[in-house]
Amino acid sequence: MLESELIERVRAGDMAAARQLYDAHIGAVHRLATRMTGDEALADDATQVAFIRAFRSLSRFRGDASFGTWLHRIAVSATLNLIRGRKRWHTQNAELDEGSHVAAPTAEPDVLLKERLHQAIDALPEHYRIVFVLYVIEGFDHNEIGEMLGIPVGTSKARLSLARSKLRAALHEFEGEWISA
Amino acid sequence: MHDDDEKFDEFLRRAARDYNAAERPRSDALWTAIEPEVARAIAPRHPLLRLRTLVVGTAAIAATLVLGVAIGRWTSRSPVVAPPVATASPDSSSSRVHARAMTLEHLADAEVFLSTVRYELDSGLPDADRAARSRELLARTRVLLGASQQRSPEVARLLEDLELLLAEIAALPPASSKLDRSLLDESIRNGDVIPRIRATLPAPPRAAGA
Repeated sequence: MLESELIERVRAGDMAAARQLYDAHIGAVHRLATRMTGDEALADDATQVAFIRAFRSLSRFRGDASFGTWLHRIAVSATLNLIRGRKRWHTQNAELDEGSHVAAPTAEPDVLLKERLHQAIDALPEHYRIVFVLYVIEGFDHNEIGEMLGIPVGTSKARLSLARSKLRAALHEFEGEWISA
Repeated sequence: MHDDDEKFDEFLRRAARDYNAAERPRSDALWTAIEPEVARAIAPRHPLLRLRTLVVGTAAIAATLVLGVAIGRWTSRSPVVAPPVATASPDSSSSRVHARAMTLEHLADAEVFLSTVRYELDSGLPDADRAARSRELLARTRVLLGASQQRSPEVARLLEDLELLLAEIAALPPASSKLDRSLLDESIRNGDVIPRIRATLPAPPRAAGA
């Protein structure tokens, strides 16, 4: 069945169609939320909020973009809201978290590189990190990212460029890895 | 430099592939948790309620249009004889001024409404009219979104986010759960819709004739 037909059935109140639509998209939405949050529980929450919001406002979906793009935009917004809420909570409870993020030393160069990269990505300012995750890891283009985050395409490009610079600086000791690639 | 960026991106793509990699989602468990909400959200509404919404929405649209025309005429007043309205093309600056005035008037109404809802949520006050008022504003928002007028991407985006938020408020059941209310409260607070409306609205005009 075409997705547009499925959406029409959901609009008519068909719960089986709603479940089909959910099944078709939960993998991508949950993966995106997990990439953005790094926290399975928070990603679960974001996924649930995104689907509730999408079903509540399905009447506003006009089909200009694909349903997936529209849903991703809602998911990004929901995830950012939860990240910010969590950040406020963490700020208030900072002392309790201290010392819990010490990475275990490792001897494997490849593992070390990945560890350093992941730490460097985590250390990026949020609005750079989100663009980086969406572009480099999730494979969205700047138009789609602009649409999802409500920012101009040029801003998305600028944020990616700044994220890239910061990662390059953080990983300078591994420079040979990409120059020789 | 560009080639180097591409090489670096390719390197990052490979090395970051498992950054915050997701487990397989617990699809069934997550669905079970949201299923009642989804059922409520997509349930067909009673025909009388639809009719009421249509009447309220149409009245609101008419009021908005009348108000917009009135504001437009007022803002385009001039000591010289004004050209007849019939000669104005949809692209004319007068038309754009009317459309802008209507949008700003609508955003001002929405800001008052959202601030009130936020206060009611904070205070735990029930409001029987909340859904009806939200649907009225929703209808007006959709009329503005559907109009083929030029507007900045920021305002277009703001109207789209407002539409989403109003749809959420309209869908809030009268006997809403704590989860419903906290979700809505979070949407209002963190979506930045109220601050963005305030940033869009112009400062009150200074007294004329000074």
